[in-house]
Amino acid sequence: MSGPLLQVSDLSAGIEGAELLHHIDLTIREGETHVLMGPNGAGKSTLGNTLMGNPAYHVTGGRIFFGGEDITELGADKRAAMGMFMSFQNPLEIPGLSLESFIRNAIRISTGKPLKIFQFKKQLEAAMEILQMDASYVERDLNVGFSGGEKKKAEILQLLMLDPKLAILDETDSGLDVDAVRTVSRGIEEYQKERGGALLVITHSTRILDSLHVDRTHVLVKGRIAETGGAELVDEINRGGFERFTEE
Amino acid sequence: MKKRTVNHIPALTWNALRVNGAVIEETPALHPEKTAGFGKLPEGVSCREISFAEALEWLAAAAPEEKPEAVVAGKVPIYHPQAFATGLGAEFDELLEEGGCRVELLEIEDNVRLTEPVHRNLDFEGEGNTFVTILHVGKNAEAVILLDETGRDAENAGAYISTKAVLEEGARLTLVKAQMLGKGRKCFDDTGASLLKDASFSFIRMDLGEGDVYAGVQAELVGKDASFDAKTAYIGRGTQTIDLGYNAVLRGPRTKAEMLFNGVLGGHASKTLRFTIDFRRGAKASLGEEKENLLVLGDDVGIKTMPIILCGEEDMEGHHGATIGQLDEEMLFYMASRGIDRKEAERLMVRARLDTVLRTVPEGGFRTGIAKYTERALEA
Repeated sequence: MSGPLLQVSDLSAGIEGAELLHHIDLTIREGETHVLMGPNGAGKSTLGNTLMGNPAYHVTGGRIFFGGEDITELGADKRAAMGMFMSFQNPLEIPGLSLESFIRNAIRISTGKPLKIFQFKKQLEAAMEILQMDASYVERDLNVGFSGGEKKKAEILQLLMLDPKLAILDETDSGLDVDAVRTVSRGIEEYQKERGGALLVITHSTRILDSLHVDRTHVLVKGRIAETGGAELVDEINRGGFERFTEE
Repeated sequence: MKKRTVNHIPALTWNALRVNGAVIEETPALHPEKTAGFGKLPEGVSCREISFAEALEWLAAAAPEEKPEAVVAGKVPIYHPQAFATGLGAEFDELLEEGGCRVELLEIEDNVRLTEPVHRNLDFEGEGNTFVTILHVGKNAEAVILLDETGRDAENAGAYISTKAVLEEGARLTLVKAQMLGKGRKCFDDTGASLLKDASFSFIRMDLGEGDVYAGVQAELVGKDASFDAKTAYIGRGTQTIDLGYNAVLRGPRTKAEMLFNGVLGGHASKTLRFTIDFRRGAKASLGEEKENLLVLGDDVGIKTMPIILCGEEDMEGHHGATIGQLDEEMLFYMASRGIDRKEAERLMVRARLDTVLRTVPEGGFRTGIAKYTERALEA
């Protein structure tokens, strides 16, 4: 097993003066899949946003390392360029900018290299096939008029095209019907199994985990990691909910 | 030098706001010398030159029976009526007439549907700086007219453009104006259109140049089921002044007007936008929609927006929407999470606003030319 890809040490963070995360320790190695579960308001999305470098969230203590480098003070664009990615719970709409153009620009800018168009098109087609996306999607303005499921597919399409080292999936399955979850899961599975990508899956449902191999599961309660275990913890939460972890 | 007011709003408001119209203290010299014409025209299309007085007579005869009346505030007319209503208004016509401008009358015969756009480069490098045109689109005729306005940086130079379009029953016209003039060139660009039954006028305007701009459009939807669609994109930088006045006057039943303005302002640029949807009595079951998206990229820009919906008819539907502001942090974070830094994000967002309108320009060399100019402007 290689060294840690992401290492979070004693991390405390919050938003607008309120501390929402307390003394978080987390280590993710290359290719590992970690699941972050917890009741509503536990701080799951706060952790995702803090790791990705959302400026609305402030680190009040501890450090974040990625690939051995301290990224605590780095902006989100620099973290993305190093190989981090976050799939948004509510992806933003950008009128006038097509999905293809957005992905093309993101690859060009984050890699700093000119894009090979033919190769790009081929990869895009292949990724869209996995996600069962119609070819016309990429010409449409980014997320404008997209349904909830289409937006999440567009997020996973970006994941497959940007091919990061670590992807944080923030409630990617929320609001999706069974078929849409299955399709989106196929894309995530491709990223995990075929490309060896590491994942931090933030969820409070487990449908999205059905087709994934889970290495570690963390239960977040009131901004603290209450328990860490293996894939069996997911099954336990499925059966009994979060009650055991929320009891004082 | 005579002071002139252009881009009047159709109903006066508190004058201290200084949005009732744009007062032009001094206009650059007007040179009415003959300029290059439309060149070889397709079958069914003709062009001849007439005097300004003849043009006014022609327009008066061609104009619909219900003439645009004088705009009245209280009981005092604020400007005298034009023979044919335009956005910049009567005082601009006066300027052209006094300057001795000639008019080109381009006529498209009934039922002629042009498969290729008619393209004309309005090059302001030459001696003349006026392009005054009447477009007469015959019954059920269809045409796309592309005009690109070009000229390198100059000192206190003017560009005077007037386009009046008469659309007969069932006529369809797409008029594209791409303004790409250099610094120091003050652009006055006026458009007016009258639409009879089932006529359709699609107007696309892109202001990408570096000089001051005063542009106005008035569309008179006289006939039943006539429709007007205007899409405008502009980018203001440096100390540019951009002054736009659009009026859609819905007179006929089941008429439809849609106006979209996508703009970007940076540096010390200032923009005044007046846009009106005017439902006149009789415009039953008509629909009007106006929308502005403005991206602000500086702390020292001047913004005046005057959206107006006038209702002289009860059975109508009018919508107005506006988004004015800087790039929000959420958007920047979304971009950043894909590796796109603030500078590149701004560039993409500017491009997105312009592209929304550019994509409606017919494909081909004309569109490619505008795209390249836009790219250079963004690089700068």
